[in-house]
Amino acid sequence: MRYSFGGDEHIFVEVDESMSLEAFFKALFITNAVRDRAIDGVTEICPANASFQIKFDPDRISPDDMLAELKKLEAAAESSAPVIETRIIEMPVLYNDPWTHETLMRFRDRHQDPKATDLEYAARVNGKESVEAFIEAHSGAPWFVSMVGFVAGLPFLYQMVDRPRQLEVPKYLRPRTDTPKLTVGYGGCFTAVYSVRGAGGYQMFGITPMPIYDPKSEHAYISDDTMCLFRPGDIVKFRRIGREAYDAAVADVEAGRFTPKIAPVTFSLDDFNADIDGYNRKLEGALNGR
Amino acid sequence: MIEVIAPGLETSVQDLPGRVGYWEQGFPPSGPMDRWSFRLANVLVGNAPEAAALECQFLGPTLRFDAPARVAVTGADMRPTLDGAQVPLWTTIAVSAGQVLALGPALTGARGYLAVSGGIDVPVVLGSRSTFHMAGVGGMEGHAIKAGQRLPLGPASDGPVAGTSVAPAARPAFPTDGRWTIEVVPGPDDDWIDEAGQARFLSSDWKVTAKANRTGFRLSGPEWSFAPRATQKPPENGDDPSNIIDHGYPFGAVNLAGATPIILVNDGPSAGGFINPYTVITAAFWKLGQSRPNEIYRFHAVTVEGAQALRRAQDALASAASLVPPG
Repeated sequence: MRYSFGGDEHIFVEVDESMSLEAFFKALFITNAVRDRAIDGVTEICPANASFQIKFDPDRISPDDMLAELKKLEAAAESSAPVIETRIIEMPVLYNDPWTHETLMRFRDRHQDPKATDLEYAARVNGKESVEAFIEAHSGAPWFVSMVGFVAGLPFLYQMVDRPRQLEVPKYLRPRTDTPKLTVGYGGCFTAVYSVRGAGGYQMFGITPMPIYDPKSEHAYISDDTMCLFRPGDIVKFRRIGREAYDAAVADVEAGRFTPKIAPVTFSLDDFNADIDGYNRKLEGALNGR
Repeated sequence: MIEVIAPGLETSVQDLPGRVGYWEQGFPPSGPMDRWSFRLANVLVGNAPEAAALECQFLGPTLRFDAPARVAVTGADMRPTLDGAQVPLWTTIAVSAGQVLALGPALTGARGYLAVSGGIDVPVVLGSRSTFHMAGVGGMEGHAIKAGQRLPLGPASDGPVAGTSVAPAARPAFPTDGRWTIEVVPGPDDDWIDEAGQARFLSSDWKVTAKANRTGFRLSGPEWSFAPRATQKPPENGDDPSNIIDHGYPFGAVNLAGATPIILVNDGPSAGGFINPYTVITAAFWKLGQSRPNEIYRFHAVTVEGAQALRRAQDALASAASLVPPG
């Protein structure tokens, strides 16, 4: 791991130069330990994909002491079993929806492949025979929320499959100035769900009816304490839905009666690695009360 | 209450230390860009230095007071007037019920700070009254103040008498030639830049462009050159030499997006896929807040310990100990 200071109030820790579930898990594990230890002077604890960042108040803990604490926790993380208590959340997605389609057509001049849609391009560069097959891969296995940020409540998700099955899609050549709210996007090896409308450089695959950012406290399933649904370590399963189910879900959201499927699960990295597909099926079973 | 007659260009409620503990969810700290001037405005009116007050960008507001209050204007020189008569900056001013305080365009600096006894009593959202307009939280209904709004005030405590001022040596000094020295600590991603690139960053003039706001300050300057790490990396880092696996950004990061450095400030993104070769130190933030487009930055590398010493010295000045009684 590589430790460096960011100015006088941050320590940035790069766990690995490449992305892997192991790297993410280590970042999550150490940041959980920092939180559990309630170290005086720590003001922000931010796990990211293959790194993490700690912000501290230098009047309460010196930079060198902060660094020493983190190195101690790194040693502890290496000697303990990689297991976390977390939850699995089902997110319905209307792939190939009319709103992201309208938006992507407006920004074709910023795309690698102006003659194709984002989904057609993503399918092709991943060697899939069709858009259908690509959607199948995207919605087939669950995802870890590996980071929340950029803007309030926006999750980055990394798919829980072995490396050869990871989907890889470059970002737009130049970022768009617009992305519809709740777009399911893709860049590098990450899915992102845009919590609010705004600029973005990720490929656009679809849209979810499920709000994930709730500043006005309109949705019971999003905590008022953070206004944001996701936190790093959450597991997400995308469920492909059609237009009718999408419209019904939107109506439920507007009527305040939309309730996503959310279930508590224990995740063990070792058990997962021993049988990835079997373990994922077991996790998904929790969504259906199994 | 204070009635907003004219809001100014972008006048927002801010407090210190801002929104703490929600960075993991993507909420930035927000808060005033020039904490030094902000704190002094508060202590001049008898508030805690951290109390909620107004940050006025480039053009200040016009406000009518319902009830008597103490006010102070610090930071950028916006030539404040009370019922049309000029009043001094860096000074406790007594305002009577019905009087109108008006701030104009900034003649020097970029951000003026207006504190009122009792503080601006907007609701606390996620632990802070600071405005973060991109997510619509904090401040007046999540955004900059608007004409016709009425700003609520908290209960005032005893404070300095009218005419109390800040000792000139305790005020931040704005350069007269438009050139600023900005202290940075190298990292977190300085190892992505080659030696020539690092030397060039620290020895070149960087011009503040018109794209400079509470999210980021975009700079123009020479080209960058990269260490092998930036070009020989796993594909999930991205295609451009400045791309990295999306990671957390420090507050004050000199963020390199392609060839353009952007200093990420109070309302900036918490994370993203570009490298941060340098980070502006806490004690230099006020300089970003008071600099204007087309002014020039020179960056000066300091150690983490050096940055702490500068911050402690600045915090000592930005306190009630710097007040001078009238006369």
